[in-house]
Amino acid sequence: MARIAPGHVIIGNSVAAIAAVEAIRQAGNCGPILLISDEPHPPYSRPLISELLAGQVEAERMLYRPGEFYSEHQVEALLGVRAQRVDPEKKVVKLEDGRRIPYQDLLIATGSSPFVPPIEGSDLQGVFTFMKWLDASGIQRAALGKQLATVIGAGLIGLKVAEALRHIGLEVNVVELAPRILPAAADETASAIIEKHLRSQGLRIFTGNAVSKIEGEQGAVKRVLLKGVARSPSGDRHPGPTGLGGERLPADMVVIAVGVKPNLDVVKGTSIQVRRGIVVDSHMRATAPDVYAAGDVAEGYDLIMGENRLLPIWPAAYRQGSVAGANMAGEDKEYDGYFAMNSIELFGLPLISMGRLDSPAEAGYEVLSRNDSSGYRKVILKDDIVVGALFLRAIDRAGIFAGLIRERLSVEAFKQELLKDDFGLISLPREWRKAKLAPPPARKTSAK
Amino acid sequence: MDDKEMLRTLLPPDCRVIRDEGKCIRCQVCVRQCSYETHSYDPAEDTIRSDESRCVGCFRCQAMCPTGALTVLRGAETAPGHYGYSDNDYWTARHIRAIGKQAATGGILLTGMGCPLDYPVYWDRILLDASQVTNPSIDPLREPMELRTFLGAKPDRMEIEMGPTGLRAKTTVPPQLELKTPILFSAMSYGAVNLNVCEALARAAKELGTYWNTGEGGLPRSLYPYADHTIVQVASGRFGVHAEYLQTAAAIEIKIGQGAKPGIGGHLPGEKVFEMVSETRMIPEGTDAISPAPQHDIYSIEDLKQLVFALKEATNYSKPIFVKIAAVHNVAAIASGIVRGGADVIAIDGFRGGTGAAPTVIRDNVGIPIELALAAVDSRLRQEGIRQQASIVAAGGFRSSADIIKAIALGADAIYIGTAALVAMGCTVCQKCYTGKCPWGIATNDPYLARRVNPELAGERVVNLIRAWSSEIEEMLGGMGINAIESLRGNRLHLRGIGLTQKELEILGILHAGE
Amino acid sequence: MKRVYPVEEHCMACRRCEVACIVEHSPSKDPVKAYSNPATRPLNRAIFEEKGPRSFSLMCRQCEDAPCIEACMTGAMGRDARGVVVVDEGRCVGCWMCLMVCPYGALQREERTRKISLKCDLCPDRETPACVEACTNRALVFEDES
Repeated sequence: MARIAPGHVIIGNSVAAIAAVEAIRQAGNCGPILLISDEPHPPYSRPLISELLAGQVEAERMLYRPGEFYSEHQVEALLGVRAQRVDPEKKVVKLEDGRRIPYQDLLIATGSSPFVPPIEGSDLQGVFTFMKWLDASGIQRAALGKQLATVIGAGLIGLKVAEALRHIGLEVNVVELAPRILPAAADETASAIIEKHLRSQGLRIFTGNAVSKIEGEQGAVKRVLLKGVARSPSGDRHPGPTGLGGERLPADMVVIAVGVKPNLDVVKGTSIQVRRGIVVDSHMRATAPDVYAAGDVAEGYDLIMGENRLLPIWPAAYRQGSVAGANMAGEDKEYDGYFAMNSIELFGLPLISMGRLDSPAEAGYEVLSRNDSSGYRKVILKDDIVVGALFLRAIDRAGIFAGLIRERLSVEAFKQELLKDDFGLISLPREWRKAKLAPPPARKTSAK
Repeated sequence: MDDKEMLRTLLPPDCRVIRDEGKCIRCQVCVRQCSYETHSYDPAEDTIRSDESRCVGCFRCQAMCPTGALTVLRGAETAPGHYGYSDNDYWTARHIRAIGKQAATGGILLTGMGCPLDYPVYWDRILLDASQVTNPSIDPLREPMELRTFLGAKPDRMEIEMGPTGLRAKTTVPPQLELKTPILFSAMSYGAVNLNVCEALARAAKELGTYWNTGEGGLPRSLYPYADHTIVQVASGRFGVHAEYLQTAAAIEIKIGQGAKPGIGGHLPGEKVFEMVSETRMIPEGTDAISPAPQHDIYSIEDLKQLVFALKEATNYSKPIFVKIAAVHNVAAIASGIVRGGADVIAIDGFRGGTGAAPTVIRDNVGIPIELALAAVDSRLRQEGIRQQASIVAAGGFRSSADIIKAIALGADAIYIGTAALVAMGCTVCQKCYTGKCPWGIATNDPYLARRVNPELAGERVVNLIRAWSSEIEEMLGGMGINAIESLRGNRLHLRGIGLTQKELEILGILHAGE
Repeated sequence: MKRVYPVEEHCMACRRCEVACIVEHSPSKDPVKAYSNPATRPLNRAIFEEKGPRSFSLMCRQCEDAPCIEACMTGAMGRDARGVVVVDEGRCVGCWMCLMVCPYGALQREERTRKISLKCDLCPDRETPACVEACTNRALVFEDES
C-alpha cells in the first residue's frame, strides 16, 4: 500500500478521540489526522444506546457529531478496523489486517469494554453485554417476541438497560452482588428510595446475590441460577418466583453489566507503562515519546482522591482528549483533573451524584443531609470544603456543587444554606459573585 | 393615616386602578413594584386584585407593566378637583378628606413635595423678548454663548496693575464658585432621599461643572470624592456637621429657612432613619430627626453675621458662604441684612419649593412666590448699592428653562432646582415622600426600594435635563440677541407681563406686554 | 463576544426580564398569547435569585471552555454561528449532564412536552437580548469581555 506520511494518529472514535480532533484543529494545526476505530459507525453517543434500545431515539440521533465531521476536520477515518499493537520504538501502529501505520504522535483512546465474569453459560445465544451500538441493535432484535430478561449488575449501565427493556415490554429481573443497587453512584438512603421506585415500575431486584450459572436449551438462554436465596436487603421475600436457595429465574435473555475494564491490548507487552490503565502525566502524555492517552483507558488526575486513577466518565474523557489534542498540536495544556460524577434518570426519578459519597470517620468530615417530599439531598464536607454531593429528585442547581468541589471554596459562611430549596449563587459570598459575574471593569462612566 | 389611630373615617379610595384584563398576563410586576401593597395575586383564581384604598397615584405600576394593562387615576389628594366630589369648588374633596383624617387621628397632616394649589404662577404670566429688525439674533449653533456664572461676593471696583508677566488684578476677589451653567441642585438631605439619589446628583454636578447641596443630612463618606462639587449645609439641627465636612466642601450654606415650610425646621420621620442615615446625621436609628425652627444660636442678624464669619474663619476665607432663607413677607429687608452680614451668596426659596415632609397646612399657606421675592430682593439690593456684595440664587419650583431664564432676567445669578431633578429621575410628584415608601426609589432609604435608583443612570438623566435646558437657554438668549447670560442678569427690560395687575407689574419691575 | 452581565446592586426584583424572555421565546412574541396557557408558556431561560433585598437574574456565562459542551453526551450542546453556547433541542435527550457540571447552575429542566435542557441563547433573533432591553435600571448589561 502507499506510504502514509506520519501525522497525528488516533486509536478510538468516541468522546476522547473526537475531543482531540477538535482540539487539534482548534489550535490551528493542519497536520494530517488518521483515526482508527474497530466499530463501523461514525462518532456516536454511547450513552444513547439505552434510548435506542427503548425506542426513544432512532439511528440519526445517535450521532455525536454531524455526518460531515470527518471531512470538516480533515480526518481520514479507518472504520471497522482494529488496531492490534503499538510499537513505541518504531512509532508505528500495527493493524489487525497487517497494515503498519507510522505516527508523528499517537493518541490511545481505546476506551473500555464490559467486564464479563466467568459465569458458566455466558456463551449461550441470548447473552449480551451493553456497550456498543451493535449491542443495542442486537438486543433489540433478540427481544422481539420475548418476555423475560435478567440483567446482571445494578450499576448505572445495568439499570439503564433494565429500564429500556421494561419500556419495550419485557419483565425484568435485576441481580446485584452488592447489598444495594447503585453501590458506587448512590448512598444507602438513595439506593433504597430508587429501589422502591424501580419495583413500583415492575422491576424485580435481587441484591446481595449473583448468577452462578446461565442455563439454556438448544444453545439459547432459558434461565439463570442464582447463588443465594432471592431476598431483598430488608430480609423480605420477593414477590415472584419462590424457592429456597439456588433459585432459578426464567429468562429469554441475559444482559451482563457488572463493570468495565480499559482496553489495554494495544499496549500489552510494550514499554508504555500501565497500572490499571495507561499511566499519563498532567499533559496526558504516556511513558513513550509522542504517545498520549485519554478517556476510559487512561489514569488521569482525580481531584478528590488526589491521585491519578481510572475515571471512566464522559466529561473527563472529553477534557482529557481535548488536552491531549492541544498538546499534540504543539500547545502546552495541562489537565486540571476531574472527579467522579453521574447523572441518571430512571423512570422519571433523577439522580445526580459527585465526588465521594461516604464520610470516613476521620476528623474534619461532616455530612449534611435532608430527605423530604422535595427529594433527598446530601453534601459531604471535609474541613468545610465540599468533597461530595448527592441529589435525588431535587437536582436543580446541582452544578453549583461541582463548582464548589473544583474551586475548593470554603462553605463555612453559608453552610446552613446548602440544602435549602433556594440555595443558589446568592447564598455564596458577595465577593465571589463580584469576581465571577460582575461586568468587566473600566467602563467609562459618563453621560453619552 | 397611620395605624396607631383609635378612630377610623370611612373615606372612599382616593385613586382608581383600572386593569385591562385582556392585557393583564399575571406577571405580577405590579404586585412586586407597589410599595403600598395595592396589588396582590390570587393563585386560586389566577387573577390580580387591587385594593384601591392603598393606592397613592404614583403611577409606578402603570409605568412598569410590560403590557400597559394598568391605568391609574389620581384622586383628590394629588389632583385637586378630581372625580367624586368635584361639583363643590368650596368644600373640595381635599378639604373634606383632610377633615376626615384629622377627625380620626387628631394629628397634623403631613405631605411631601411643593404646594400644588391654584395660586397665581407668575412665570406663566411673564413673556420674553426676541430680536427683530435691530439688534439681530445670534445663532447658538454658530456662535459661542457664555452661560458661565460666578457665585460669590464681587468687589466694588477692580483695580488692575502691570505685573512681571503682564496685566494682573490688584484687587483680591473673594472666593467664587464657578458654574458652567446657571443651574445648581438644591438641598435634598440624605435621609429624605437615599444615597443613590445623592450620588446621582453628585455625579451630575461633576459632569456638568456645577454643584449639588447636601441639605441637612450630612455628607456620606462615599461621596467625599465629589466634595469639590458639593455645597454642604449647616442647618438648625446641625446634623452631620464636623470639621472635615466644612473643610472639604466647595461652599457652605447656612439654612435659615426653606420655601416649602417657612418658620419651621426640617422633619425626617423615624421610618426613614436607617443605619447609614443614622450614622451620617449622627443620630440614633429610627428616631425622628426634627430640626428646630430657629437656629438656636441665631436670634438676630448680628448672630447670623457671627456665624457667617465663624465659618469663614474655620475655612480660612477660602469658600463662599451661602445663607438660605424662605421667601416671606419682608424678604427684601431680610435679604439686605443678610448681605450686610457678610454672606457671599443669598439663596431665596419660594413657596413652591419641595420638601420630603412638611405639615400640609404650612406647605400650602406660608411663604410667597419666588418671582415676587426675587424681584423685590434684587431691586432693594440695587437701591442700597450693595447688589454686588452677594450673588442671588433663586429656588422654589422651577419647572423649565423658561422659568429659569425669566428668573435671571428678574435678577437671579443662578437657580437651584430640586423637584425637577427628582422628576428627571422618575418622580411623579405623588406627594407621599413622608411615608418612606417611594416606589420610584427616590424618597426612601428602604433597601428594597432605594435600589430602584441606579446612580449612574439617574445621574445621566439629570445631566440630560440640564444640558437640554442649557441649550434652550442659549436658544432664547440668542433669540434676544444676547450671547452672555451676564447681559441678561437683572435686565428687566427683556420681560413683559401679561394679565398682571399694576401692582404686580410694579413689584416685578416689568412693563406690560404691548408697552 | 458580548455577554449579559448581572449587576446585583441595581436589580430591584421586578422580573420584567423574565417576562421579556418568555415573550421573546414564544412563537407569537405577543405577551398575552405567550402567557395564555401555562402548560405551553415558555420558561424563563435565566435563573432569578433573590434573598432579602439582594437579587439578580443569572444567565449562561458563555464560558470559553464551557464544561457543558464537554459533558454533553449527545452532541446537542454546541456553539452557533455567533459563537453562543446553545442547545440543539432536537438532539437533547434531557440527561442532565450539563446541569450537573455547570458551576453557575445556569441550566434548567424543561420536561413538559419533551425533556430538554434549557438555557439562555442570547436571543438569536435580536441585536440586544430581550432581558437587557426590558430592564429599566441597567441591572443587566450586554457587554464585551474586554
